[in-house]
Amino acid sequence: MQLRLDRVTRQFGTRLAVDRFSACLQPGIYGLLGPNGAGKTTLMRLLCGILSPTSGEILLDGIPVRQMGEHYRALLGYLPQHFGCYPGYTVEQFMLYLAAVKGLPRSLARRQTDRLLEQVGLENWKKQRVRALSGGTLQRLGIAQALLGNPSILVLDEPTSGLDPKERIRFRNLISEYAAGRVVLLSTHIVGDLEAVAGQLLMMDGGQLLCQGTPEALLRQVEGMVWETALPAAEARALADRCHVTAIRLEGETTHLRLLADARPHPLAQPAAPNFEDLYLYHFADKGQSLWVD
Amino acid sequence: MTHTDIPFEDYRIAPPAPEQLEQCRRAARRQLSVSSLRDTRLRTALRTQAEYLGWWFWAAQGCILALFSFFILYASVLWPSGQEPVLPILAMAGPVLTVFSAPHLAKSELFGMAELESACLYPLPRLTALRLLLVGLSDFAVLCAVLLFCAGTAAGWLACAAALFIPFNLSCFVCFAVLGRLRGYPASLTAGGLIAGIGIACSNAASSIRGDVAHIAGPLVFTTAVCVALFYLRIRRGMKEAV
Repeated sequence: MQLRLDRVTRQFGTRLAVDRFSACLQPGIYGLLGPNGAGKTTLMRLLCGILSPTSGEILLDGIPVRQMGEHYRALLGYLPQHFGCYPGYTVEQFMLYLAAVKGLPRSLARRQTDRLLEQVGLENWKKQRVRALSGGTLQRLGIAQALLGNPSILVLDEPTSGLDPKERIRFRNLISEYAAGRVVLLSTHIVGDLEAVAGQLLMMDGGQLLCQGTPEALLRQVEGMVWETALPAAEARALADRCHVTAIRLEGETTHLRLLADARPHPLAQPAAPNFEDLYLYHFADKGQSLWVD
Repeated sequence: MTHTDIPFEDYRIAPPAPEQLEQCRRAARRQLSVSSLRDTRLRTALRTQAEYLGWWFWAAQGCILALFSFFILYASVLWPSGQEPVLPILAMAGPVLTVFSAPHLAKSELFGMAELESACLYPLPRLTALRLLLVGLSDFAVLCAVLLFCAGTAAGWLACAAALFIPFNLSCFVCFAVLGRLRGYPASLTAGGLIAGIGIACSNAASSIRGDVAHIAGPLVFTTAVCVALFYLRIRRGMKEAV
């Protein structure tokens, strides 16, 4: 299976939300990383057929998805960033309704509902009203409904927002097990989640794809640019004004800094192994903007 | 040497040309993409939407039918003879029905389900078309049932039909106009306000209907024909396969 985006563009008035985005997605987990307003949600809506491209094409195994229609939508599972629920629906009714709208027969819908609610840890919440659920619990329900019908293409927009660390680990494990033979595209600001599961990263800004590659290949971009040092507060503050600070830790009078810089920023700075946050800041931090907060 | 001269264990079939193989694979994937597990019959989709319209929708329809039928049947008891406001009451039935039914057409946007439903097998335009079909048929059936109760009134069939269906048709026009341009709560509030206005205006105007066939048949037939045409076009547009 191959999902190809060929110079996909989406314009709202004069604003280009997605600008000639081209990528080829094979089965596996893809992390979509970008700052707010990069076009990640618009891209996901284009993939799910909620929006149609202004230009360009999305193809599944060489066939434009616009021509496939419901055959393409039958392969999709989608979790939007925000979603609501019809009043009065319980967790079980919500799942069964979406299963019906996805065209699943009733008996299959029941079996899948029971199984998926168990997988996301909501088996005891079946009779609870959806509107009474907390944000994190609602998110787990959203993940469960996205998996209804065993979709071959799973598009998840900020799936781990609101989840506690235990649930995030459960989600990662679920997605990792599920991803075999499927295309999973998930967008998140929590780079730790991508570090754990993503086989490939797509970094996006201004509607454009900046780079795509395996985490190891992308981290090589910032090799030799990550430094750690421990300095007195005033000196640390001055250094932070010149470089991008990715982490700050105070220990008594000493400030421990983790920085991004092309060359050694201070004689006491030591090189450090880069991580995804360093990579994110390397691409998306505003030039000249200090990330130090007084 | 022909193929029959080659020993069976040595017989090798030439591999297919790469482009032929790719073509076959693509065709096979296309076939496999048609999942036999998905129930895409129209009647199943209608039944699903009817179930998930909710018991309160059907209860409201029943209550409205009962209420207006009660008024019509007992009008002669409730009001002095010759002063039964049958036509003004009938003129309110259509707008009242539409006010209760219209939010169900916009419920996906009202309750934040639009994005989820848009990515399902039945896209949102089709779901809206199915709901429109159900709600429209249900409202029409309720109004026809109320019309049956008008058999014993002095106003006459045509006057009662005009009093029932002309305000209903006008209310539907408002729904089509507003719901196609606004979303969510602004759409519901705007539509509700306009329909209430239509109901009051038609109720006041209904008192002057006196079985005058020439004056009421024309508007009745015209508004009904336009309403049916709009329903048909909306449903057809929603049911067409589109991303």
